[in-house]
Amino acid sequence: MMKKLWLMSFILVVVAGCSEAPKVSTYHVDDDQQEIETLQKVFTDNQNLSEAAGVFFDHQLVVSLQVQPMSKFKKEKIEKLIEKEVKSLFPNHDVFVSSDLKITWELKKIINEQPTMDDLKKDLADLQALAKEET
Amino acid sequence: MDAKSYQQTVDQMAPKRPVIKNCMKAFLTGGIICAIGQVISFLYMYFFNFTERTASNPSVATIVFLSMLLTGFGIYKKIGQFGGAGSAVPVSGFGNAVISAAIEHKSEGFILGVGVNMFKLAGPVIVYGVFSAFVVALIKTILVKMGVISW
Repeated sequence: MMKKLWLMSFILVVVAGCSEAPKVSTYHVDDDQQEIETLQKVFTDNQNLSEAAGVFFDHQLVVSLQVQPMSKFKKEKIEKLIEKEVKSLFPNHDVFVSSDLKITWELKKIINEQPTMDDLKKDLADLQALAKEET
Repeated sequence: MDAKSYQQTVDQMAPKRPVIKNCMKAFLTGGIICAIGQVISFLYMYFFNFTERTASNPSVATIVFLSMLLTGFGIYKKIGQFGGAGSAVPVSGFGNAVISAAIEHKSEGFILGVGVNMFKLAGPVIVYGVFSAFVVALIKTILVKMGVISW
């Protein structure tokens, strides 16, 4: 009985951990649904993503990604691929892509709070500076 | 009795080592230490302005500091007895190596005892760590200059 329970919970954990559509959250200052849908499609089409967030602001697009556990080894490759794809889809935007967990947390916080224009500008600048921090 | 037959006799007489059990214990201990390290890393990221990349430095320092405290209190010895290599291979083993050597040689004085022997075991780790980091950085610099890879 105990063995079966262990086996069941193991299978449940494994199954729950993979093959799920990425959780996408986006925020557009001007509420352009077409742009939001285009970005969401990029995320949902990629099987390697587990979570993604994107914020549009004044010709700036900040994207953060989290990859599936088994794809962690090629995280940088996926990040570059998404960056290339997003840049080609939004040529008028200054695109910034990061796969760092902290950036995802902060971006999701921004999306939940939906701050004013000035605050958003400051928050996004801080976020990009944080992502470039080396030490 | 020649060396070969002597070794055979030793192998027959010596108690069998529970290799798989030891491996499991080491895996469990090392895994728990790494999980604690991951939690500390998340805490630094959540409460301070550290990213996934930059949080590793304070996390390593914290783990080393914690293992030093545990060594001083005599708890890390028990963890080492249970986990074996599982407690020595993670970075916490470094803190343990420094403090246990310091405690052992305390009776010889603070300069010639603690000061001289503190890095007896951890010294080679630092020397070869720095040296191998230098070699890897040198190779990477050359490859970047040649245009094979980018930073």
